[in-house]
Amino acid sequence: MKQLRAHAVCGGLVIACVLAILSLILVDAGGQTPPALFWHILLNLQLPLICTALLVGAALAVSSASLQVVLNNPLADPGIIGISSGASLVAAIMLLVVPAHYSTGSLAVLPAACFGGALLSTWLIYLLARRLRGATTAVILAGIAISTLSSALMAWLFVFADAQAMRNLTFWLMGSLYQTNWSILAVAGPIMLFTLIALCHLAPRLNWLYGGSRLTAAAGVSPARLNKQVLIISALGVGAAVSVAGSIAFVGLLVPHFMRLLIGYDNRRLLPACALAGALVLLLVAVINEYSHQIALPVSMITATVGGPLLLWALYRGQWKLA
Amino acid sequence: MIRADNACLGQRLGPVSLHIRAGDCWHILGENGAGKSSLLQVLAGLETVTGGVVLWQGQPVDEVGLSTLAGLRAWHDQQHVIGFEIPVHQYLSFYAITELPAQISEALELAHLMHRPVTQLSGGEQQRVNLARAFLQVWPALKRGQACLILDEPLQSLDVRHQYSLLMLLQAFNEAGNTLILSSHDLSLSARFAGQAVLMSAGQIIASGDKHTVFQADLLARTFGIQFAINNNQNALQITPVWPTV
Repeated sequence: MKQLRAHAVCGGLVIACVLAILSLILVDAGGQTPPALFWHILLNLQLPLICTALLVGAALAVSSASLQVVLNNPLADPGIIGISSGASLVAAIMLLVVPAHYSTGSLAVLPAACFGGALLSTWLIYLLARRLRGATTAVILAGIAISTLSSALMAWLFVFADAQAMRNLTFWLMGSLYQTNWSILAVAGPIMLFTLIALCHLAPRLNWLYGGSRLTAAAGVSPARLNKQVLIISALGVGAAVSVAGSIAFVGLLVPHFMRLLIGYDNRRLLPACALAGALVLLLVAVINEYSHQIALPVSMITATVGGPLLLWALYRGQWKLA
Repeated sequence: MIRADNACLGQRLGPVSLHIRAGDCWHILGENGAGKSSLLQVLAGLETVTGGVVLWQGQPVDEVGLSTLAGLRAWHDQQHVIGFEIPVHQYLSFYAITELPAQISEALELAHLMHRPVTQLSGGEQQRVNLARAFLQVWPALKRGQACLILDEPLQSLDVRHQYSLLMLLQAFNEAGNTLILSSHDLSLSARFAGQAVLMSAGQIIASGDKHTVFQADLLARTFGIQFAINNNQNALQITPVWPTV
């Protein structure tokens, strides 16, 4: 029954993603756009945008769902517990210290820096979670402290930034799908794809982690090794996502939560569904941006506007327990 | 089947030596903090000994590998706090390759719990679900009578009826040839259901072997610090603590 429902949900998500992609492709198709310009826009602007939305949404949702199992905490969103802001902070420092690196072609440096920042924050949260065993609220508060500290340090960077750097900092704070191109995607895209495949491959073992470390070992897998693998791969996914789209809030919290309500907790079905739903959310953000004909809206502005009330509703309904 | 020779686990355990044969039914008893859980973890291959050796069918347990052990021995311990509202049937499916067998479902009375979230169950209900999870993990070996069940305080939080039905289920598994090692605080139940017993204190084994040789008044007094009256009526052991008069 659950399997049928999972297939139906995934099928629906695929159809919705295809429709969103078509609407993004066709946004410039009608009217006066000459064919040559249409193809130029499609190949150099729309397709990188679509790939970014698909990969970043999927990577964030799947990495978050996996992190939540390792931390035994369904509230562990990379945006809330400081993983995204850790990645953003390192990237922003790099942009200020080495502002020319974007143009020098050292494109691998940025994802590497974001991965470093994400991994550092992830490790800190993991150590705290182990120390505060079972104390869900304390882990979240510790994550918020890390997130606040990173944001404060980024705010300090504003003081020393020029006008161009300030625009870049806004990108790292609020996220955007429009600062990407094929060169950036050529580095970060395969990394995100790898994290999606690797985490889905680990899904059956992740199921054992629900019962805790001892039961995971009793079921035949070293929990320390599994935790380490998932933490590093998730940090890689979040770091790569942040390197192409900045810090994006709520996708990692709400997508796994609503997918669990729809298809249950089995990570073998949950993680692929999260990948599709995360991709759909960011595709819809891109559609809103394209059809609003305004300046490119920061992604977190849209996701937080929708996600904030949904989070309050879920808390009110008691769907998250804080202990 | 399992042999511990001078096994140590830091300050918590040992050195202890124990030889468990296939089909045995061992009950490990001792005061709180005596090292019962540590001994079980070492025997299950879940903790690496800091001294001595633990052999599983003649091979050092570290060399057997967790994945091989997972198909042969079941482990149950005190409840881990789960952060997710997973329904019982889904939680059990993560550890099982088969549907929940009627023998387990009926003995542990799980049918009415299957669609409730694990986190919303009482302590005793969670205990029954986790015992079912342990049995399911080794069900093929359990059916063949080749499994080893290592259970840390399986009777904890259970009411009298469920204690009895669990012990009857374990007895049925044991009679089918499966090995059973569990820790308990209930001397009278151990006196009835154990084949062999271990008495522990301060990380050391005070006595081990056939229950009739282990359940002696002086050994029990040394282990628990109070006196016991032992009655061996028609080969049925009865152990009663003798409470000091106030």
